Amino acid sequence: MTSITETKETENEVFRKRFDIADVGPLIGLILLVIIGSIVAPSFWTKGNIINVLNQVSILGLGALGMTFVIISRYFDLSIAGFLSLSGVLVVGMQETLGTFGSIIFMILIAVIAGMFNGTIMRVVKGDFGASIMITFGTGTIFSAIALLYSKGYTLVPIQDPLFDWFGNGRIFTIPVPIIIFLVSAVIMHILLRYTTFGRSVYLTGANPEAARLSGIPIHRVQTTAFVILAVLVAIGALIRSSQTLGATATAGEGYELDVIAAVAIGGTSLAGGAGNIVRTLVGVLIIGVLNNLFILIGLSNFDQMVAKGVIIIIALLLDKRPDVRSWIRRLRGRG
Amino acid sequence: MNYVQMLYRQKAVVILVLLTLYAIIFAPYFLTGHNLSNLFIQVSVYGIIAFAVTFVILNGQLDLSVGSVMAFSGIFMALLTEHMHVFLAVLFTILLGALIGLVIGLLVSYGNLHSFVVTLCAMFFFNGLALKLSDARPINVQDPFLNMVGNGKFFQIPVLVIIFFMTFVVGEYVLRKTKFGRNVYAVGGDEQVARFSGISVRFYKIIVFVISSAAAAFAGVLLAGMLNAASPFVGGAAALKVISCVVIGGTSLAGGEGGIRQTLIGVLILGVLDNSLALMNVHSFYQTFILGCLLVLVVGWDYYERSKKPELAA
Repeated sequence: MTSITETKETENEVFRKRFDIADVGPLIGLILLVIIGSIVAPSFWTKGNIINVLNQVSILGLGALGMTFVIISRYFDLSIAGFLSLSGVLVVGMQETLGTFGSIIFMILIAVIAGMFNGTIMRVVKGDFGASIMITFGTGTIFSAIALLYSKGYTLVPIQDPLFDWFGNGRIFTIPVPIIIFLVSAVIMHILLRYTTFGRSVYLTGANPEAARLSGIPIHRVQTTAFVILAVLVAIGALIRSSQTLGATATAGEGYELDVIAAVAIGGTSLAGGAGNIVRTLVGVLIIGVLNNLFILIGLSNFDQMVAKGVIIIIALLLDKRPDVRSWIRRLRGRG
Repeated sequence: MNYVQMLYRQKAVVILVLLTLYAIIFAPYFLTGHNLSNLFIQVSVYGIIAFAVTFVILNGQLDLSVGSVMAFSGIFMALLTEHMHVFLAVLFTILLGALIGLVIGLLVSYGNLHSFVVTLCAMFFFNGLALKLSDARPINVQDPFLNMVGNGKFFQIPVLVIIFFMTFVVGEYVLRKTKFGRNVYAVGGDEQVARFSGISVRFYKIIVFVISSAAAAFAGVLLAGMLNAASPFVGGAAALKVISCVVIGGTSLAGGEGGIRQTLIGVLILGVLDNSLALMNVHSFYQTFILGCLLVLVVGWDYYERSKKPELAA
């Protein structure tokens, strides 16, 4: 009898947890932003603009999806900005010798190697979260230096090619390909994180590495795989970007890491690891996308946007961190 | 065996000596008075920030915003000098720097946010502000006083270098000889223990950021004096350079280990590396590459050593 009530209670708990404020808060923020957007800028709520928003966030979103894995597994990756530049430069530069398809395969290979490079260093030095920040700061510098060396500081222009053009500007049933790539990757990553053994071990590794190790999870392999997933997604983002902008420079990635961190953190994934999911990241990505779009519709300059973003991220993080806000809401719902 | 251990413990000094020897042999121009004075002028602006950032890193925090705070302060001062006396402008700029540090420190200590996220946001914030205020163009700063500080000489020694060594002495004194310095180490070494022994952990978390941002503002002033202009683009690689200096010298990112002396060695290593590569006509892209590799190696080595320690104890 008691066991039945207990299970009922836990089910109730699970139900409540599923609708915790941490999940709903960012969503409410997103809805508010959309409402503000449609009031402030009449052109916001047009089909063209919505597709535009999604199209613009797809590159950022791909990185954010991968970063979710890395952050949940308790690491961090600052090298993605450098890597976005590097893979963009490589895929364009190699196009002549390898052909479009070959250069894309080559870029993915490089991404796998780069992710393994980060993961292996972290494994060898047995570093923690703080170490991963500085190490990936260093590897990011190496990546962008290689990009600079390879491109000699010039903008590389891709060869016009239907396949290459398709990634940035193609459409399937009037929906741009970047959006489809982003949404399909989001679904795959969601399934991977939620419904597979690998996903579960990512959570466990982040929540308690020692416990995970003792229960037989190869934590280093899990973390390295997270780095590899991130690098591959970033590389695909670089492909989309160089196809859209018809050029690749060694400085293309500057500021990318901030947007990605912002998206993941605003969505509500904790930087402490072990918690978070793809849906939250999606909400975070959309918030950043709508914000960027609103900034442009309002007419803020690039520089204003940098300033505004810095402030907004801090405020979002503070709101997420304030324990009294959470306990207050819990009390409102009568949970004491 | 003992000598090997001693050398190993002083590996930063060994690296510096080897690098200097390498530079002397392969770049004959290296050992001229003119070049050496150039080298010291080049390192002094970054070095001053590096000394201040040592406090932050000793405390177990990170500050990625120093570069953009430096750029922003230069612009801010350049705009102020058009309206008021230069001394007042410099004073206000450094005060503003301290205020920036105060805000960052409050966010880190009371907001309970990770310092790297806060300073990363601050980096973009001030970068954007500097670009906006200056319209992405360098602003001319023509002032005899600032020019004297930036380019003047005092008994054949550049004023900048004198300021650099003065900050070194002050920093070293504060860290080694005062209660304040000891507490910075204590908080970085173990926050919990520091709290239990009655140290106001929050105060130290805030004050280290005040020091680093004020120093960044000061460096911005010096740089504007040196270049006779304030540019919004000077901060780009500063965070990387400064943190590399501190870490390569041997201050541990985990906090509580290292010091100003180590940072001086780190600053000199980077200075000699930059200078000798430039003398040998190596492209600056390679310098970035080498810097990145060095950073990964040193940080990695530090954590690797750290991970081995508890095993020895067990």
